[in-house]
Amino acid sequence: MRREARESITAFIEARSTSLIRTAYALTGDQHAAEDLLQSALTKTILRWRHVRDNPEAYVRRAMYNEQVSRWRRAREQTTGDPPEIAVRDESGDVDLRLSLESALLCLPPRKRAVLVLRYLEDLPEVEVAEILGCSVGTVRSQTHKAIARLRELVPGLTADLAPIEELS
Amino acid sequence: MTNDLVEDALSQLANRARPVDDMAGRALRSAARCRVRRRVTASTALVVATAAAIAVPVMVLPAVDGEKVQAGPSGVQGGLDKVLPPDSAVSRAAVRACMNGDPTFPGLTGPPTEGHRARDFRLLATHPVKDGRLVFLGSSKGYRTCLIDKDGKASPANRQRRQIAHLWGTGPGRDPWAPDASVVPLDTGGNVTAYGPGGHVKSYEFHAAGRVTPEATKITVRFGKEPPITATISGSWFLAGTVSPAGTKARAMQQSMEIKAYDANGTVIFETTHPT
Repeated sequence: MRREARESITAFIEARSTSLIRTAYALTGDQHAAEDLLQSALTKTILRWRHVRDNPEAYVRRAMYNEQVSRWRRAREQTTGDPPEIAVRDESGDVDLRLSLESALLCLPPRKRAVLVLRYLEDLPEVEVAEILGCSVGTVRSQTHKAIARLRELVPGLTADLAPIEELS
Repeated sequence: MTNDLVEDALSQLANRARPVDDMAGRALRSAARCRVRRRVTASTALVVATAAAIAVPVMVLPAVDGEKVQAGPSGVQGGLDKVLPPDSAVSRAAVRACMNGDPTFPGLTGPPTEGHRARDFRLLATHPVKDGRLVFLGSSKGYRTCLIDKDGKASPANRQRRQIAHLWGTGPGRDPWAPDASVVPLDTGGNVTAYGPGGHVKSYEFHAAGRVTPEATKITVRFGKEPPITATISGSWFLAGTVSPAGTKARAMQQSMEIKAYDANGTVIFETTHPT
């Protein structure tokens, strides 16, 4: 690899790795899995650097989302355990609500979680979310709808705090 | 309201992420390993071509009592057909476990023909590993390796439909292996065997498989700095491998592989190290 390419790759990763590891953590819910996911996505990006150097971050993010969904599909074959226990909301405050919601987010399948991460953490418009996930805008809307519905099921006390689902799209 | 709640929860989740030391270095090294693997795959194809051109006719000649082996693709296939072991119940069980449908041969188009179907494959060699065994399967057209557990079930990565098999002796590439008539490594490398609940890699298998002539009585394979493993030699074929949990040890094992072959006197008659 040429020295200039190596230097620009290093500069890009050093500048963006903090933001990217946050996204990876939100997708996986685990530090080691997040590092593994990010490294895998960065490796793919480096291998295609000549084609993606104009906007490498978009490629990394797309690689992360696709990889996470693929891994989950593969893992699903061998993992049939019960979902993690969700903390029941204590009426005393929002801290419990937030903790319950965080646990519930980790119970969502990666594609649904990815839609929420892209829309609410990354604050991307539906069109961009659809482009990254390789699906239609309608699918993004329906996945968001289903994800929120699932969150309501997992955190029953949350219903009162949530706006009607229709408001989301 | 919903937006704020979900956004806040996701932010809190993301805030738990710790910065990663030297992610650039890790990614660059990982990409370099990928490039090496790609080169080795291409190079292995050339080794197979060399094996087909030299080793196979040499091995087949006694069987055909001096008759000339046909040159060209049909000669290669015909020659390999003669050194494939006969079908057996054990062979069929291994093929059944590892082949979910007929295999896919990268670069090959058109309907499957003789040697392309799962039923055409035979068990060439088997090697015990922790909680199971590795198997080396081949047909007159191609080959693949696979991990089977102690219950005879293939690892999850090997249960997908239409597994990839590699054609004997096709593909471009240079030869870094310095092939020797006594040992011809054909399939070397590693694969993911299992994923954890979070989707991260749980374990890998590493293997080396290939052709061997009678003068080599012992073959050892060393992955990284781990102790050498004695390969199983089965007729004209050999196979060695091991399974390792993901982690530092597995990463080190991906870095290098050393294959040595010995004759009956214990003299090293073949040696290769990858990457060179």
